[in-house]
Amino acid sequence: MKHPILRGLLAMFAGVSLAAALVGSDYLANFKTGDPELKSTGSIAFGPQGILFVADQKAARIVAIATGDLVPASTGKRYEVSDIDAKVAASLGVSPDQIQVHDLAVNPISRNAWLSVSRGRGADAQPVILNVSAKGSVSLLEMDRVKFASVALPNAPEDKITGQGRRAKNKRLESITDMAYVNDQLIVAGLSNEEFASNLRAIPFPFKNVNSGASIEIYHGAHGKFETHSPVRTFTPFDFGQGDIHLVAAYTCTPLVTFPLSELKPKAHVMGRTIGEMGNRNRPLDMVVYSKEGSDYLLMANSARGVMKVETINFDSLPSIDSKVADTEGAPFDTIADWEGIEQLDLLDDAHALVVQKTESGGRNLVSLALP
Amino acid sequence: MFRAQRAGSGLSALCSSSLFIITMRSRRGLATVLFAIQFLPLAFASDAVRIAATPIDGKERTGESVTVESLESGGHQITSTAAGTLSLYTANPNRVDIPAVIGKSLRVNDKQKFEPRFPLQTGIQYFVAVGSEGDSGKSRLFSFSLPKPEREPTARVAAVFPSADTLPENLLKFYVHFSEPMSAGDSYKHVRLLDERGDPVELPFLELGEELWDGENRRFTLLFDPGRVKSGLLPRRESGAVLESGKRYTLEILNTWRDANGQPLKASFRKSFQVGKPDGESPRVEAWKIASPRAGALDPLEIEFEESLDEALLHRLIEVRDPSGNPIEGTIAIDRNERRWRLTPARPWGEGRYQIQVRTLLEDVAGNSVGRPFEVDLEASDGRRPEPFVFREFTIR
Repeated sequence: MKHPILRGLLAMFAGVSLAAALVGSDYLANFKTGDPELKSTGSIAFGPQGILFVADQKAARIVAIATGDLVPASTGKRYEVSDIDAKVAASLGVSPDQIQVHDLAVNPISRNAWLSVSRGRGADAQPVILNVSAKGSVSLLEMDRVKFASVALPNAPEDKITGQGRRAKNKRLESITDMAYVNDQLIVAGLSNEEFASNLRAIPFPFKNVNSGASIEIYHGAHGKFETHSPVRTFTPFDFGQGDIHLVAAYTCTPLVTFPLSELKPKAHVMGRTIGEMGNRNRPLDMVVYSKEGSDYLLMANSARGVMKVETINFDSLPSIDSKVADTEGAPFDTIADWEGIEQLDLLDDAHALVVQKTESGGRNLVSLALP
Repeated sequence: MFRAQRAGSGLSALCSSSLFIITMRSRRGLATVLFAIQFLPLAFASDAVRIAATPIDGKERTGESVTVESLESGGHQITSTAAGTLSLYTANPNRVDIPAVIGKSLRVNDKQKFEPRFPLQTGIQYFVAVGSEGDSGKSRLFSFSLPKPEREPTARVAAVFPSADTLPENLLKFYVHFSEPMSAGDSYKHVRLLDERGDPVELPFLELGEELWDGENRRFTLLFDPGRVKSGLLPRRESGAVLESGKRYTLEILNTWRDANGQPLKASFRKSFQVGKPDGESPRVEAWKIASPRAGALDPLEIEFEESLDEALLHRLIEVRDPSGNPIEGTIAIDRNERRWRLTPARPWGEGRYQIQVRTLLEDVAGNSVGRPFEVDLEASDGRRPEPFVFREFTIR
């Protein structure tokens, strides 16, 4: 998800054309032109220069696509698109029940909304990447001739039959639960449909080789006594100051934790520092970090407990609630009452979020909201 | 408007072609055309239909027609003989403000053509506006729908693992196998865990928007909420563990779950099970009982475990190597509630010392892997990292 560090970098790219040209030649140097032949689409995230990372989990890889969406946004771009799911379905020529919207990402250069969508619900659902303008027009990213690069996820399932000759086809797949680009690395969180383990990877970009991004073992510590594998469900990079970048993450088992980006080395054994438990009967869905009036905040969308605004001022000084003695409840937060039904969340600009919001009538709107 | 009727069986010979044409003509009496269908992603199997068409506004004009045909590519092409641009919609554009279907407009031999970007869906009504671009109010409007074959529900739950009747309190997941590919996207709506009174347990499972399917949408992985399995976390402190030792529960898969063709399951499925004590121990490979086959035979190698292991991982994480180190090809069978693993070789066993390689990722049904229990007690742990493999050996004579 987007964050101030990345936005700063991208503003620089967008604003300084010479720099963009120089850096661009680096980022796109290994890109091929053709059809990436996506098998599926899930999480998406923007990197530099309008490059969109797409999780193609059925093919066990991440594809970086040069969208060419490079025209800097006019100031004050706002979204007020009602029934976005119906509009997407209509554009793709199907009934709304045949559409799955997996993720929303805002291109920080153009401030355009991009959606990752499956057309259909079966195994042969077609992966679709869409661009939605502020006026609500939906256009398709045609894939037959794009510039792209891809990286296989390590431990990818092998379709070839190995070893035990007539062994049933490998059914292992990894669901990518979130991605973010920071400091020339794509951070990818995944969860396997078989073994229960953390699959967090820091993949250098431009992609170099298939072995990059070996899995980092992420653990949750409970009361200083127990330690368990803890797959990450959603996360966002956050600068603790002086370039000390951490990931703030929510585990599938719900605690909110932080760990330093510098520790995310292949095969590292990293235990997140628990700074909050965001509650029972609830699933964190998405998070962003933003600044307002000199303070930084974490905004987290949840399945059941609305959107939470968490003060980050004490993130690096809060006692870890993993410790045996701590009786703290962790980071203080407010629930933003009017932000109900938020299913997708990203930053539109410094002062606005872009959300997919489910309405009482069951429709979904794509709207920009002033950050609380 | 159109009226679609099922055609008689005598038409079936016409259905072999992948080409079909729906003709919509405004002149009374010319509205009937036959076609065959061969269908694709969102659509379903071949069938024959007869369509009678009238324009949607009822005002008929001589010579105007709109046809729909399938293309070899699997897509569709719409052709209009009337003047003006051609746009396709999934609802009446005069009544609902929706964008047109994305596609490519062509002009061939004075006919306006439109190819939607994706194959059309059966069973929904499409609207074709012919006329002034951007002003559907001035357009002539036609409508059609591709017939949806009537189907009986056939998909069913083929198996659920773990298959045992008694499962540990800290059970981590179920695998639900279906006989046919299923629809994804709202899967958790169709699964319930019922307590002894038959009441649903509140939020027992980890609900992930991404859902955990295999590549064919035939196996669904259903994880229990790890916040209620792990010790000391808020969800567990407030709501308790999902499963309690000594009680009975029922996993229910509702027949409202639809297969990839949109048909519901043939029947709901129930698996009732007793809950036993939690299992916090790693599987002990050294305790596995190995029954060696005889040299020259095609008998299976049999391994018996002390407990049920993860059915999916058993297919992937055990490999047998011959005395030269080559993997043995054969067929794996897992039975006795996933407590027995058998490898029937493709070629007869030769004499010698064989090695069984077990990846330490292999888990039991509570997520304890060979290398590491699900929860490591840091006070008791030596902090060592597990090796990737452990080995057993056996001799064939």
